[in-house]
Amino acid sequence: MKTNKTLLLGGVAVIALIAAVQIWSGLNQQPEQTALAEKPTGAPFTLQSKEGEVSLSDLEDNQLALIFFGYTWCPDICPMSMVFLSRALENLPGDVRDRVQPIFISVDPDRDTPERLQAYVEFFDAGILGVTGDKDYLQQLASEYGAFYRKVEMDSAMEYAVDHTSDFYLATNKGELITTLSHNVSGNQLNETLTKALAEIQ
Amino acid sequence: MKKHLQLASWLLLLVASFQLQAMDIQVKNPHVRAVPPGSQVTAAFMELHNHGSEKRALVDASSPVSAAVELHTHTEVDGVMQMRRVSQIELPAGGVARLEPGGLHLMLIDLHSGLNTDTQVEITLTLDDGSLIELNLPVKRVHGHQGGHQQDSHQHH
Repeated sequence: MKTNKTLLLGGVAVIALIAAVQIWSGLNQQPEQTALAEKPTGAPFTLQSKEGEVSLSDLEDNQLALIFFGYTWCPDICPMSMVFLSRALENLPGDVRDRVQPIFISVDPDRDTPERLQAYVEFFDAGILGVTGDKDYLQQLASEYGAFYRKVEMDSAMEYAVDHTSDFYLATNKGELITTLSHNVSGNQLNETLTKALAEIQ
Repeated sequence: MKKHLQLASWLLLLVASFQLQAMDIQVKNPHVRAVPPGSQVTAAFMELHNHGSEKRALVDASSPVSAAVELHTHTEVDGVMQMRRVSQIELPAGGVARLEPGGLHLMLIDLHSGLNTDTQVEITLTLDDGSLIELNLPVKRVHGHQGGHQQDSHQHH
C-alpha cells in the first residue's frame, strides 16, 4: 500500500514537472507570438535609403507617413500593394497628396540593399521611399507597428520566403501610429482615411 | 536513311500524341507580372480550363528567362501572407484552375534579365500525363484582382 502511494506521488511529481516544463517553454516562445497580440502604438525610426539615412522626423509636422513592411523578392503581394497604393495616391487632390509620404520598409536586408530598393520603389512611380536597416532593429520596429514577419526555409530555388502581414500603417512624423489599414482596403477607404487624418493634424 | 525516317516518324508520333493529349486544356489570359528592373523573381498568372473528361494536373513548368519556374500558392493565415511551393495544381475534369494574384501562381526565380512590358515570355507547362503546353506570355503591369485586363488569348496546343 505504501509503495502504491509512493508511486502515485512520484507519478504526480513527474506529471507536474512535465507540465511545468511545457508551460515554461510555452512562455519562452511568447515573444514571437506577441507581435500581433499587443496593441501597437508605432515608433519613430531611422533607416537607410540609397540617398542616406531617412528618419520619420524628416517629415514636416503636417505630413503623414504611409508605411508598408515587405521585401522585393515578394513576387505578388508586395508589388500588388505598391501598385494599389500608387493608384490610390494618384486620386488624391495635389495638396493632400503632397502631405503623404509612402515608405516601403524591407524586412529582408540580406537581399535588399538600399540601391536595389531604390530601383524597386521607383518602378511604382509614387515617390515611395525604400528603406531598410539592421535585422534586430527591423524586427523591433515591425512589432511596434503590429507588423509580423518571419523567414521560412523552403524546398525551392528561392531558398526562403518571408511570411508577412501586408497592412499599411499611417503614422505621424513622431512615429505615432494613427491607424492600420488592411491590404483589403479599397482605394476610396484609403483616401478617406488619409484626408480625415490629415485634416486633424493641419 | 531508313533510320532517319524511323526517327522522324517517331518524333512525329511523339509530337502528335502530345498535341492530342494537351488539346483538352485551354489556357486563357496568360501573363507575367512586370517587375522593377533588377528583380530576381516574378509571377505568371493564367486560367487553365480542362475541357476533357479526365482530371489532369499541372506538375511542372520551365522557361528560358529564369533559372527555375515553380508552382506556388499564397494563403492568408491570421492576417499573415504565406507563400508556399506546391507539388501540383489540380485541373478537375470540366473545371478550371485559376492562377491569379494573391493565390496560385507560377513563380519565375532567378531571372536572367529584366522583363520589359513589350516582351514575350516563353513558358512550357508539363502536365501529369507528360504532355506539354507551350505558351508565349505577354509581360503586363498587374494590378490585382480588379485588374480588368480580361483579354482572352486562347492558346490551344
